[in-house]
Amino acid sequence: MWGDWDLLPLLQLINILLPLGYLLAVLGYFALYVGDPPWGRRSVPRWTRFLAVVHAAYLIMAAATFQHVPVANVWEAFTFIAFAITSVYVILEWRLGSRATGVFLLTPAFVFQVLASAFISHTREVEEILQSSWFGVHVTTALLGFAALAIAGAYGMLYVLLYSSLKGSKVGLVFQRLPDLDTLGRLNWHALVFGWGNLTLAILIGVLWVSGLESRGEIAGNFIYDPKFLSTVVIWALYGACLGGRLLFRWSSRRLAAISVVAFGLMLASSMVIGLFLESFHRFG
Amino acid sequence: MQLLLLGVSHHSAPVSVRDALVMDGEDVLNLLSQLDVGCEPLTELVVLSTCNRTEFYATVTNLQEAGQALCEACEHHLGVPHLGDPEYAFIHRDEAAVRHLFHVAAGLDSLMLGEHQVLGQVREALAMADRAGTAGVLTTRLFHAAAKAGNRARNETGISRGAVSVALAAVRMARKVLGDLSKQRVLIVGAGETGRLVSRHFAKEHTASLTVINRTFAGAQDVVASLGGTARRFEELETALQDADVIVTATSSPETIIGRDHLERAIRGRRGQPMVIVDIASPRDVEPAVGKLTDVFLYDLDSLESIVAQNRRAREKEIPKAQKVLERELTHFMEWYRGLQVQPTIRALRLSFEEIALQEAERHAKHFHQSEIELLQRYSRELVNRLLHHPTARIKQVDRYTSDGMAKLVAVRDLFQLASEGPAPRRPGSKIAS
Repeated sequence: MWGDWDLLPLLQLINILLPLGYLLAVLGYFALYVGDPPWGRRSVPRWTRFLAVVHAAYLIMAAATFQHVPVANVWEAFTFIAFAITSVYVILEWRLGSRATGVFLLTPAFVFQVLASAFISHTREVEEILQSSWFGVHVTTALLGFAALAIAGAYGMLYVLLYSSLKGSKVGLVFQRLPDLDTLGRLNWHALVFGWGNLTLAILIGVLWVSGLESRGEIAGNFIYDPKFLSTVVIWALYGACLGGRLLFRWSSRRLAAISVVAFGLMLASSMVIGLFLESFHRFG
Repeated sequence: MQLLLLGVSHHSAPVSVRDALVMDGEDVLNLLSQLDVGCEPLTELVVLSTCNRTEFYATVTNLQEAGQALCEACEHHLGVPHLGDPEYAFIHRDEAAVRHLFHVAAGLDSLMLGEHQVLGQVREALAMADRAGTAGVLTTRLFHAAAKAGNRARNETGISRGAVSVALAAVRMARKVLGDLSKQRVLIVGAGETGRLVSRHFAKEHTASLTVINRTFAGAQDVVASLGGTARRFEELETALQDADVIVTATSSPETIIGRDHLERAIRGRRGQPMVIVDIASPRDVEPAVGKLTDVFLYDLDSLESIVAQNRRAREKEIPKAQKVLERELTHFMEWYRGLQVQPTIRALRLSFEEIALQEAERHAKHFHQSEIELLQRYSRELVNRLLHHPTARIKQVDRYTSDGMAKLVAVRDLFQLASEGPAPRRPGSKIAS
């Protein structure tokens, strides 16, 4: 029953099965990368799509059962990140038909899901602010955006790898198995557009929501000076400049790939620095 | 009836002998129409003729006589006696003949391991025989099975992966950098033999444009006349460089014709769009320093040959895997082939009916008393005997050594979905569950 605890056994079962599902997907994509066996060409992408649907159902059921979007603590956020990476990958694979990069993207999703499944503890006892539907939309778009930008970083890395392999006429596994340079460039571009679009939405929704809360006196302080907000805006601007460069000045895929790797590195570094050394109102659990 | 393969290939005969036996589609049709196929000793015949092999796949009632007839036909129609010469020709029968054709279809027997063209030639050979009316049940099934085996070997193993010729490697490298070549503009510099070959490969990719430049303008015109595209004069080279995404050079110029400064000017307006340059001339046509330019991918003959050698080694490693795939297909085909005999067909038919009768008796056993079950079994057995009495007698009259007889056996097997050995027989004392 929605909103009742009856779904708990099912949620627990899916929580145990999800890492296994991800493991199967990673192994399948690994087989596709190494040997491209015919059995895997359809079944592995189908399995991953099914996994994304099951994961989405799990998150919806968890949200209904615990009455908040399941990102109220780190482990809930981890399973959401795994879902976000997988769903963005599934969309890109469906749009561009490239199966050879799945192993690189689903492996981090698998790691996130293993950690989430091992340590997750859902609770109804979360702050009131985290139960807001604004919060749900803000975090969902933000995590989808960050996942897509992380994927853009991964594709950027693969682009650089293949670029140097092609420049040096090396025909190893990277050359044999990765899609062509043009496809990698397009995957990188699509991931950037999707990620930046979601991040833009997340920032807009977040700003509107927090402004409303501040004006009603429900939270204190000025979010403008929040380090996480500031760093996100800087990163957003950096990616925005990157997209603008492509659209206005026809920047090359190589430049875009390099920038997405650097920007992803900055994104990771800033999150770590803020998480470890600075105070932010963006916190989980 | 036996399956006979008589042929010559690059493994058995020198090029002079092979060349003498090469037939185009029309030659094959002529030969097939003039042979007395359908009567003893030759009941079916398919001729596979490529630049490296001429092979006759026949179903025969008498090996000696059929071999003789084929040799005489070759001598008469082509004027070459070599097919009967054991020094050049090879003969395989039944399973060995099937295995050989499967290997041929998979490209394992080709000069260029895993090449694709032969698969089309196998299909074409059957189509020719079909047109001439010389293909029958066995050869049709054999060639279909060979095409399927060849396809599977290519799809399931790396036997056809990677380019194994310099010209193809040039196309693959361009595709690896630029993706879909149908959107790319290709410039070929040099209209010699290599230039023509590369042009042909790029033309197959339906590139956005194909431009050929040659010192002799007529040479360039000659290439584009057959492939489509534009011929330009050698003096226009620098302008043409600016309009190309892929440049292939294959001239016999003693010095380089494209320098770094040419390319720097050419790529200025490209805004980082990658450009592929393939220099397959010896000595080089393109200055090696061009490869240092950002977003310019330069491949020379050495790098392409090294890629080809790596691909060739990789394909060779895949041979055992491909052979396994072919053996599975061979087993499958041979089961069907061996099943095309009168007694196994009758046995399979009876076993199939008895199995159905037993299953039905089992299904209804619960409605009968224990003492009646034996009666039920006897009834079902006798019913099967009565039903199959006439068909069995007719099948016994079938002459499997004729194409018509074989077609009847195939029809019986297809109609009743008989496996080659039929369903596993039940143990004599097996009981019906009550």
